[in-house]
Amino acid sequence: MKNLRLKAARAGLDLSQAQLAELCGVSRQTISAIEKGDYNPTINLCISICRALGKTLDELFWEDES
Amino acid sequence: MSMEKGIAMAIGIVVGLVFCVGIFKFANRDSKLKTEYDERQQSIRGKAYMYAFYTLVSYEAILGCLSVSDLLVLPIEDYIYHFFGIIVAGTVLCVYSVLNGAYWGINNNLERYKRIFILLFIINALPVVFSIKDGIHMENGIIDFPFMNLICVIFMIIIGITMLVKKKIDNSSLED
Repeated sequence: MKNLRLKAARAGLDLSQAQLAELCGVSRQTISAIEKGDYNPTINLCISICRALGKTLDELFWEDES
Repeated sequence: MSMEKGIAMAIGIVVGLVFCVGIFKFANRDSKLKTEYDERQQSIRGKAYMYAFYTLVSYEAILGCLSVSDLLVLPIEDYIYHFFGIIVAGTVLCVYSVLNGAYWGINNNLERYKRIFILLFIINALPVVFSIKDGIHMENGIIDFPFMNLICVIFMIIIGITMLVKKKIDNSSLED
C-alpha cells in the first residue's frame, strides 16, 4: 500500500526523495519504494524517517483503518 | 596448460585483486574499500547472490555432464569454460541488483565508477579488436584468441544495457 502520508510530509518540507534519503542514510530508490508501498522499512528506518521529517511513527506509518 | 602459464595466471589474479582494492578506495566517496548498502539493498543483494550461486552450480553441473560425455569439443582452453560460468553467475548477480536498484551503494561516487567502467571496457576490448585485426590462429589445436577479454566485454555490454533500461524505467516513474 502506498504511503501517501510520507510523501505529503516530505513535500511539506520541500524535500526531494534524494534529500530525504541522504538524511536517513539510505538510497533514493529505498525512499521511493517505501512511498510506493513496495518495501516495508524496519523500525529503525521508520524512526530515522520520522526524525528527519519531524513526525511521529503513528503519523507516518500507522495504518489508517478508516 | 604449462606450470608457467598457471603461475602467471595466479599472479595476474592477485594483481587484479590489488588493482580492485585501489579502484574501490578511489571510486567510493568516503575512500572506504567496502561499498555500503541500505537494508533494502542488502536484502535484494542477498537474493541476487543466491540466484548467482544457483546459476553457477547449475552451470558447473551441466559442464560436468558434458565433460564426462565427451561433448565439450570446442577448440578452447578448459579454464575458459569455468571462467565463462563465473561471468554468467556474475551477470545474474549484477542484472538482478541493477533492476532492483541495489547495484550502486550509498557511498559510491557514480561519476568515478562510470569512468572506471569505460576504462575497463576499453582495456578489455583492445586485445579482442587487435586479435581480430591480426587474424585468428590455431596453436596445438586450440584457438589463440583472448576469450576471457571477449567474455568480459560481453558481460560489460549486458550490464551497460541493463543500466540504461533501468534508467529509462526510473525516469518514467519519477516522483511527481
